Amino acid sequence: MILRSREALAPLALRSLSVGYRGVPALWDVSWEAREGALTAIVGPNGAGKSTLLNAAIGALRPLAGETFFWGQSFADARSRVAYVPQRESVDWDFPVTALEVVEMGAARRFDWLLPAWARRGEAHRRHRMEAHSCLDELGLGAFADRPIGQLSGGQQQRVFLARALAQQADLLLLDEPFAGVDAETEDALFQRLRRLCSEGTTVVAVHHDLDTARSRFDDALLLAGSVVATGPAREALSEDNVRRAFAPTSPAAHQLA
Amino acid sequence: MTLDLMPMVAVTASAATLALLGSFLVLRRQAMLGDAMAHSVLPGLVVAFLLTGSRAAGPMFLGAAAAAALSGAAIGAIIRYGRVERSAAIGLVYTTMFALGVLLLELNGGANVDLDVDCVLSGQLELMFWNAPTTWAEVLEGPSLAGLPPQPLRLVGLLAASCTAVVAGWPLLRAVAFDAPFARSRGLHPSAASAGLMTLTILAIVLSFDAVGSILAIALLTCPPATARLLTDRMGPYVLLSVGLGAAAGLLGYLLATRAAPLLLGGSVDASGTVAALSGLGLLAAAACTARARRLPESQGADL
Repeated sequence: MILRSREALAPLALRSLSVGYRGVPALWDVSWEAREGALTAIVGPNGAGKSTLLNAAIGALRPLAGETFFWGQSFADARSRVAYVPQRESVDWDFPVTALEVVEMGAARRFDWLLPAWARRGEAHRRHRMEAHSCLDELGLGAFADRPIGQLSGGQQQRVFLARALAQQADLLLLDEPFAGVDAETEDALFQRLRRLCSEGTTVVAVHHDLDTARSRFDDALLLAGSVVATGPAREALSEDNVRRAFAPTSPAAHQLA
Repeated sequence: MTLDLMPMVAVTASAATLALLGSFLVLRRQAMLGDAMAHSVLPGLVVAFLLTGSRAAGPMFLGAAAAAALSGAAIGAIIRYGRVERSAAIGLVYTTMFALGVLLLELNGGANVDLDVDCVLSGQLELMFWNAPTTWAEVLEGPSLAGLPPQPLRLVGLLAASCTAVVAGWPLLRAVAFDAPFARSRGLHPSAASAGLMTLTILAIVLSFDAVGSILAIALLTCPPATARLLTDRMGPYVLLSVGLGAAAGLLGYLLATRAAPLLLGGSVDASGTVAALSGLGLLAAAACTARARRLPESQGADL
């Protein structure tokens, strides 16, 4: 298949993507491209299809129509370059693992998924452990490496998830509400870390719920309400006018909520 | 060596296997599903028995798998079309399936003595009595080995297979159980992993059912893992402890029922029931002992 050069370059490109649950559309005809090296917010009212968009992009949901490209490739071909972080509430934080063990899941490749740690004492395993440790250190969690995740605060849990994404050493981060339940100080630290990733050329796309920080902290924005309301530089895309349109009771998302 | 070495091995191996596989169900908060499967396979087992006229493991497993698949489909359909919540649908289906199984048994009760309600609940341990050789000369002669009952060997084999599967796929099973969406994004197959565990679990239920009855399966899939979960926050120790507690409940329960009960009560009691009751008591004891400790870290956590 011959792709236009723009498609080949964009870390994430959606082409007329429509997604539905049991035949009821949640996302309608979304075409959009993420800009390489940019920090992009996906914003919209509840039920606007923000998480649905990420899930469809990585193939967890089968779209009704349309396609998704990662650097012009399918997700299956590009998955080693993409890190996906689900919503914090989507997992059970009482699960008996430590922070380090969660981050090591990010460092795991191919055969690392087989045999427990004690059976693999090779060089690769030691390197993964070092990588996981340094990712935790970077986010200020070095002292919590061996804590069961259930003993961590919400903000610390969110940072463990980001550390796992860092350990994947991906070129594109897809984050679902990474700042939910995070205090102001942690939020600041996370934004600084994401900003540094972007300056190194990594593309970050995050579902975000706060309009003020979406305008002030992000480069670009995708404003959704079932379909695309506005895209572009964050301040322009999230203008008062556009936001009023997206959150208006007549928008498609508002209809579904009713 | 004693006459009932083999029943003892069967009870212990089956309890350990069920506790091992159940630990993954409890981790994923699907303990109810194990309970449901242990109940809902009954009509499949009865039909398989009526069709083949034997308790051979192969047809029994196929019957159980068919009944489990039917239950799964029925649960899905009830959630979708009946608009009931998941646990209600599971409860509805497994009680119905179990009742259907008992009904099938009763209707055909007079025709056979090999499968009745008693052996559904408690198994047929007495079928596994075996005159173990007492000297090496006897072992070498061979005839006593030929009389070795197959059920305990199958259960030990399944325990070994389950342990191998869990050890080999450890990081994968852990990632899939903890965060399925993430695991899927990494190219792993959470549904294939849970299908594998489900197959082993159904196999364990069927083999245990033949040997020790369904009461044991229901209790052992849930109680030892839940007890272990109260005692540790690390996954490795949790699974190991669960298996250990299961095996201990199996062995101790069997000895209590067959050795202690005759002395105390003047007659032996049902071994499967004793094992199940013992694992339940273990959970109760662990909950009572850790209740205080579990409250403390939470209040400390709030202070941080």
